[in-house]
Amino acid sequence: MNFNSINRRSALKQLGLSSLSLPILSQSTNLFAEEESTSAPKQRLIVMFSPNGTIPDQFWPEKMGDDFEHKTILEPLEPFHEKMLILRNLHNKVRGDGDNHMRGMSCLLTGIELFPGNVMGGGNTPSGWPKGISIDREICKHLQSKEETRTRFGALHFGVGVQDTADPWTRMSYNGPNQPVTPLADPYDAYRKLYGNVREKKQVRSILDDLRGDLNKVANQLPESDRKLLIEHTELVNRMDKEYADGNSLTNLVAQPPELPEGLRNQNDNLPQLGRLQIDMLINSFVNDFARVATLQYTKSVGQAKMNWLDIDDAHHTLSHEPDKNKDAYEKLVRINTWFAEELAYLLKKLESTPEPGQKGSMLDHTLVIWTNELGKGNSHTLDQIPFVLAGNGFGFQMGRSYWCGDKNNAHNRLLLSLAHAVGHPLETFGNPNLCKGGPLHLS
Amino acid sequence: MDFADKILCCTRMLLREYYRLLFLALIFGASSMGMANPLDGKKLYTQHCAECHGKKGQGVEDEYSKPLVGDWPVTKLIDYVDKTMPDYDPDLVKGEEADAISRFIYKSFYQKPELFKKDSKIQLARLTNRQFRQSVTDLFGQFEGQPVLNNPVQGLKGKYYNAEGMNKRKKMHAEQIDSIINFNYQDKAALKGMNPKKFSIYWEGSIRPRESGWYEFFVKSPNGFELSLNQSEGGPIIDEKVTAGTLREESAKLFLLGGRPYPIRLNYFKFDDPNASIELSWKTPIGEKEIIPSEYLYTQVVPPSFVSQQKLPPDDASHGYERGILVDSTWDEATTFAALEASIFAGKRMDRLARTNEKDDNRKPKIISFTKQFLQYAFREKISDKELERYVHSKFSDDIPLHISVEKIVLTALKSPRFLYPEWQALAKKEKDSYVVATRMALYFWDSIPDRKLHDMIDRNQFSKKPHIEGQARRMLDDSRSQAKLNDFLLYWLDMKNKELPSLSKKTFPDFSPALAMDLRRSLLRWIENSIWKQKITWPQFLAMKKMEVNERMASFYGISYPGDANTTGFVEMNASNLMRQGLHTHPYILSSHSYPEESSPIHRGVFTARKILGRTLRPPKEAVSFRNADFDPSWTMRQKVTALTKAANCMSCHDQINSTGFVLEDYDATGQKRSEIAGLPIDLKVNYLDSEGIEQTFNGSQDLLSHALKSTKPAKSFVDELFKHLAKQPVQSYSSIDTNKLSEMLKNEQLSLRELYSKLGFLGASDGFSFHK
Repeated sequence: MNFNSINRRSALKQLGLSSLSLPILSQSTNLFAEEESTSAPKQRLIVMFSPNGTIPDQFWPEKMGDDFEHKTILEPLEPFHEKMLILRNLHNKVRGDGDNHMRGMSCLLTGIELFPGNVMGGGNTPSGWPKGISIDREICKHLQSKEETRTRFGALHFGVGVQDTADPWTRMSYNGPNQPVTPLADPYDAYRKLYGNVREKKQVRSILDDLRGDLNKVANQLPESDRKLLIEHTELVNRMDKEYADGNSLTNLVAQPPELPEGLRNQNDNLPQLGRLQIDMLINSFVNDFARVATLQYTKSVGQAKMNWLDIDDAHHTLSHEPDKNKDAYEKLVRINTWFAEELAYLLKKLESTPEPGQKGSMLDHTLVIWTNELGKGNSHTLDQIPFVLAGNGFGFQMGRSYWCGDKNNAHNRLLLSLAHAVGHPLETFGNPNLCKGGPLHLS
Repeated sequence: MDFADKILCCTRMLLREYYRLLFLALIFGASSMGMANPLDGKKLYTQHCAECHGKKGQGVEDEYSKPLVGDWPVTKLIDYVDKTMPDYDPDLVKGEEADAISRFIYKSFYQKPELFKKDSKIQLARLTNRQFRQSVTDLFGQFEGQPVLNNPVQGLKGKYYNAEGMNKRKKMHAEQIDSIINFNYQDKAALKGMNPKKFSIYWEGSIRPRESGWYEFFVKSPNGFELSLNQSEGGPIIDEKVTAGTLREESAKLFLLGGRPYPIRLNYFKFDDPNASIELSWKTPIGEKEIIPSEYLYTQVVPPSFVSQQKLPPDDASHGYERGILVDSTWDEATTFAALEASIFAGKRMDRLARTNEKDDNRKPKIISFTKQFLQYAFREKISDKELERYVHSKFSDDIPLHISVEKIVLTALKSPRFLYPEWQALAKKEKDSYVVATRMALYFWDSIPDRKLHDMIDRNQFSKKPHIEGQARRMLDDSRSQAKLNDFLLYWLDMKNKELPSLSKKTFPDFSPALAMDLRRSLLRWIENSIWKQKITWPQFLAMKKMEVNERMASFYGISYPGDANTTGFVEMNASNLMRQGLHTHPYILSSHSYPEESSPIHRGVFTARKILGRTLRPPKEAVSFRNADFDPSWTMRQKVTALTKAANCMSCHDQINSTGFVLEDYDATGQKRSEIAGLPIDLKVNYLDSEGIEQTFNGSQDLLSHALKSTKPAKSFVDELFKHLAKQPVQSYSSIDTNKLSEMLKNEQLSLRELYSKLGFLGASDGFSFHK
């Protein structure tokens, strides 16, 4: 990955360019008003993605029902047993152009074919972007269309270690046909989008004393008649200092933004910290009701993270191609997937310990988290048995169980449909209509 | 000089004067009022004029606030005073009195503007926007390398590949230079013998825009494409690899500094799509969207440069040149952002800037050393150890990530007055030292900072003797930044800077397209660049413009034959007489940009020729009167209409000059096309022109006007003054060692080329007050 690249456009975006004072609170009346307890319970959706398939026999519980067991990979989620719903036997049945990694990723939330196109993968025919919207954006649009569920951003898309390229392997959210949505891969970008240029203001303020010293020193060496401009300049510095100190509109937030460590670089070795930062901001943006929908994308389909923090030097996707009999690779992949489960556990714990502002219960009671993957299994590249681990009570599903979705034609489109139905958006089909046979899954 | 434009006729004053005079007349009787013989001009002036113009012609606040100076001959002054003064009662001063007053004014101060220079010393000023941008870019350039086009070959280098599977570069088929990127392959292969279904092309090279400003780049294709511009490794500015074969156009906007090359790369992928085509176009700061012409493209790949993308508020230009004399919060915040942007870049790029890497044991010392150097270049002088401790070392510690320290130091440097007020040392130091001279040289020649070479020369004590400094002046003149700066000045001087393209009525001139307007603009600027920098022309050659750059569209519009042997840019140099041109003022761009949509504009053309070609001083009219074609008999010529519009005496004070210098160009229509009749009648070109010596000249066309301009020193003098202000951002009077009269003479007499003039002014201004070592 090219984290050290110069990309002036992104540097610009980072700066927010025009002004330091972002109009953060322009649509924020619902932020600080205590919501009526009679209002409908809030519903939130988070989709967490990790790539390259799972290790099925260390992932799927053998038992169905409420006493399912937690195998190695799902062990970190044991504390949330009662709030989990494991969906078995769901398949990504979208066919057509694109290799399995591409369709696995880009059809995961869209449930529709990719346009024929020019991106050639490891097999099949080349393809372009998907032909339709993704379910997270569909739900976002639905919520934004109604005043009572409308929020500042509607949806937020966080990335962790997502490369700076745009292709069907790297995008899972789509605003419509041919409209990929770029995740915020750098927490500093996300921070700026959510809270304004707080970090930059701090950085500027940290040098202002030096600057005043300089202005004073230069002015003193100049003839009296030439000092006027510098005196004016010094006044401007004082003014900026004051503005940046108290011009902080964030004081109106329900919850102050998380502390952002200084200088954390967006690079492979920092993925664990970067991910935690993104999760913290995701939670904070929910508390402040900036959005009701979020995605959290770890790397990408075919992602090549090198998880040094797990003592794994190999690149993730390369490892995932190893045959099952390669015990070393197998064991590493189990560790990798377990690590993702730990990150999910961190997210769930945070949601659980955060009260839902203005409403009863925790934020987890109002949220549905879906952890998924573009493949059922890495070395077979299968799109069958896609991992779907759901957690949280936000969508009214019956939780605390492992559920066999049925034996026939279980296209994952049915799950996507259920999500829409659960937020009061009873679509008849979503994605490819032929893959919606049987309608939404009965999960409640 | 123009009395009319400033003399206020407010009722309050009129009444006051009326009663005062009535009172005087009653007391002394009419005979005592200024009837002394010989007439005492000074006394009469005090009596009739001083109240508004001041005792010594210095002006009076709220009345006529400007000093009474100008370039009219005394005869015209007399005539003017006689007809229009005093403005509350023009009948009060007549005949001999007007004569005596005018002669007094003329002799005492009218020709001596220097009397009114309140402060002839250099003023402290902050960097102008241009200086700020150039300086920041060059600061990084000291470490990344200054991009230079060594052996420019026009066009981009294209590498053509057959593709297979995921491998887009399966087999190189050919490599060739493409002068522009505008291809429609349809369902065929890009080149014969290639697989028409699957191929890819990688174009690379550099792009060198002429002017600074915002450029929007467009790529249009049904296939996959990626455009990178001025980036080394980052993601492309346009990323459209993924396609379903539908035609798309994507764009990205960038601020670029003119006259500098930037790396460009366009990757193009056709993969089973039914059709194939690709276009690379842009929209320049002034201009219409167009396929990027080959004259801006070069095959050589240069390193990228940091260019600030921050918008900056415009500088004060009230004196005809940009000056950094105001600081306000908008400017402060904008430059703070620009400094932040640069500091973040430095933090990201520090390993490369410091020539190290994460595995280097000496990484930290190398990075510290880079920040010291950076600071020294930004402050334009050597920095003491004590200061280095404060500015640099104190910012590094084990618990702060290295790039954060780098960010802080760069931010401090770029926000510091030591960077932002480049002349502060010159004002603070009693004895000007080598750093002052180097600072000014870089500012005056380039609008930038002293480069590594200048610092090295000072360190080696080789920047104190005259030949040393002159040697550096020669080097700096040859640097493309000098050319870019002179270009910037000439855009202003030719009324082209930030001006929209001439836009003529489509109905009247259906063939005068925006594309043609851009060709004309380019034709003029190309000729200027070639003639000044390659052919090293003189001032008279510049005014006479014997050659012109012409392309096919221009040739066709102006009805001349176009030789087929043009280079890839499509422009050829031709004798200007082929197009019936007689001097710079008859270049079709100048003429069409000084026209109304349907008609020529003798007024706009007259102001331009009077000021620029003849070097006359004109002030803007006090009251703007707009020309409305509908107000006049449609059968009249423009000459008749303008004559009628400006016939009032107040107008005529300037318009006698403006009209005459505009009417001589009436044999060119609004498009700059030569014409021999207007509505079937012959054109009256004959005008009388009163020169600044008071001699009435008769011009019978633009050639006569040019001949007169070439004989006079005045145009050269005006050009020298203007150029100096643009170089130094200070008036030339503030520098004791520059004799502009002498330089103007030399310029007129072809003892100096324009290039040499630039160098001489830069050198003299920079070394003013410096004692050269023997």
